[in-house]
Amino acid sequence: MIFKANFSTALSLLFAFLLGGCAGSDDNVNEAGLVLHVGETHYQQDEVVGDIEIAAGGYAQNALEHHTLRDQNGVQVSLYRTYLVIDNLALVPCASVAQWPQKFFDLLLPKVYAHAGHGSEPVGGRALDKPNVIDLITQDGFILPLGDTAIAPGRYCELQVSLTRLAGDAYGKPEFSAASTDDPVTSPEIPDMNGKIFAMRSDYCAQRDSGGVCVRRQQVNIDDAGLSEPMTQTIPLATPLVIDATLREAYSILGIEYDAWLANIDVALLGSDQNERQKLLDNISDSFRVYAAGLGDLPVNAVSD
Amino acid sequence: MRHLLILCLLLTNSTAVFACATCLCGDPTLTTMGVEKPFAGRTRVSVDYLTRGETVGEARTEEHKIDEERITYSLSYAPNTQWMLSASVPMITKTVDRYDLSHEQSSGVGDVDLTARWFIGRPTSIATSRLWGLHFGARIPTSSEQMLKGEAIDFDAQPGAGALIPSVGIWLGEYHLPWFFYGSAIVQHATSDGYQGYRPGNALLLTAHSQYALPTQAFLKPFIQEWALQFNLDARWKNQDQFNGVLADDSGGTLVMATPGLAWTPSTDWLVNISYQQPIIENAKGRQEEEPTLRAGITYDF
Repeated sequence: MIFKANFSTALSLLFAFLLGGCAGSDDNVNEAGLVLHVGETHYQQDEVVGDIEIAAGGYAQNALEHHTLRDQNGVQVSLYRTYLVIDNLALVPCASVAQWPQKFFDLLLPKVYAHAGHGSEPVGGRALDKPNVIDLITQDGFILPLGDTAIAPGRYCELQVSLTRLAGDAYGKPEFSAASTDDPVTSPEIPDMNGKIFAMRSDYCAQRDSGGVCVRRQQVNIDDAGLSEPMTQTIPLATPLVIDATLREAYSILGIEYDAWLANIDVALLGSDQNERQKLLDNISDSFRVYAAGLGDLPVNAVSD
Repeated sequence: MRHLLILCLLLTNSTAVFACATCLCGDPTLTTMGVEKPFAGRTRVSVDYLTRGETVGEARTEEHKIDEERITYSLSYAPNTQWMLSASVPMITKTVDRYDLSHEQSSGVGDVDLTARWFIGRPTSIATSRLWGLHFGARIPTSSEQMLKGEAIDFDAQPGAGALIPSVGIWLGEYHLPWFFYGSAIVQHATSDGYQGYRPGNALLLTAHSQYALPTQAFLKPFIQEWALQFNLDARWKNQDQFNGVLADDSGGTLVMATPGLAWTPSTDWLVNISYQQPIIENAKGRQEEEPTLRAGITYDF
């Protein structure tokens, strides 16, 4: 009996010791991981400063924010509404020889390397867990934060981005607004981007008088209806980006260099010729660049006066 | 006399299977209750240490490694010869290390397991006997959701699931000295959601346990009264878990583990056991790589 009592005491002490040694909630830990800040900017290498040539049939060129491009014939085209839907932004690890077979299979079955699952954090009202709609008719060169995403340590050589047909919700999706019906010039509609990859509302001078003065403008309101889906673009970085635990954040900025969107296109055919529109969509896809990539946070935009 | 001692060791066996509350592979009651015929007033306490790990999710995009250590304190009591009741309280530390080098850890009391075992089939002789009966149990959401600076720790690092999980099953023990065999089949079904919208999938747990009592050599007598080798096959079939009604990609499937082990009695009423559980069949949904599990425990019978 005494033997039993001694063992009982010993066991109780053992339990008390073990319980006392157990970790409690004070030991909770939450350490942030490596973060990739993703941004977007758009710009022209050689900005076209378009002439203001208001004429019947066009949009209110003088009153509307617009960007100007030239087509293959040098015709100035004013863009008033231009939206692109992008998704699957990711840094792609550098491939070693040993990874070539994997790269081959990835070509057959594309893989996303830093998609926004765990660790996708919104920034400035946007995030990477859904497509992002880019409004091209905003200030050139402004770096728009698209969100933060978790990323594995490694050496990265490429930036991946897809033009995507919008099916559902997206960040930056514009609210549809019908065109005005003012006469002789109007404001273009803000398009409904559902089911679209891109949409453009633009015009150009279609007729001039003998003095060269524009007397009629032609609206070009197009989207990607009937066009084949563009491919995912994989754009090489200027130098590989090494991300590790030393500096736990990095950034990558997608650049949309839109100078050449119309370089091989006759704008007069754009509204009616599907081939011309397909060339435009391909040009858009080809205009993606790595604007900048590095360690640390996204560069801060300069404050305009 | 020797046979009686061997039988005693067999009947007081408390090791055998993995009783992990998270992966739910194997019969979770063997540790706390043993498999012996109860007598009225029989009381047993035990302390078990367990360490395990698993890697889940696609590499570079979702991969995370979960490591778990737990100490489980158990008490079982037989109010009569037909019923045995037990309660187990786990103290758990879990860590999650993700592909992006983020790290989460939390510690605390896990969910309590309450179990009742009904002995229906009775032994007919001391040398060869068969026991069988039914199992009733429930995992009670006694844990609290672990927080840090007002934010919940990720579910995978939570010490408890926070869900109510009843279970029913059938079990059978067969003694053929110096052999002992035990089998059980237990079904678990969650009746409420746990933390962060978690609802575990229905699970079927199968256990096949064998044990062989070894003769004790004279030179071992100062340290070991009796000892036995053990070998288990534990299987789990589990439906996919859900989070907020959405199926979790990397959950559910089939897992079979082989578990060699050793049990010995250093002195009267004490039992020490150690086992190593190795996954041998993994047919999981998505990517789930279970690591071996090491377990050690000590039991005392009053």
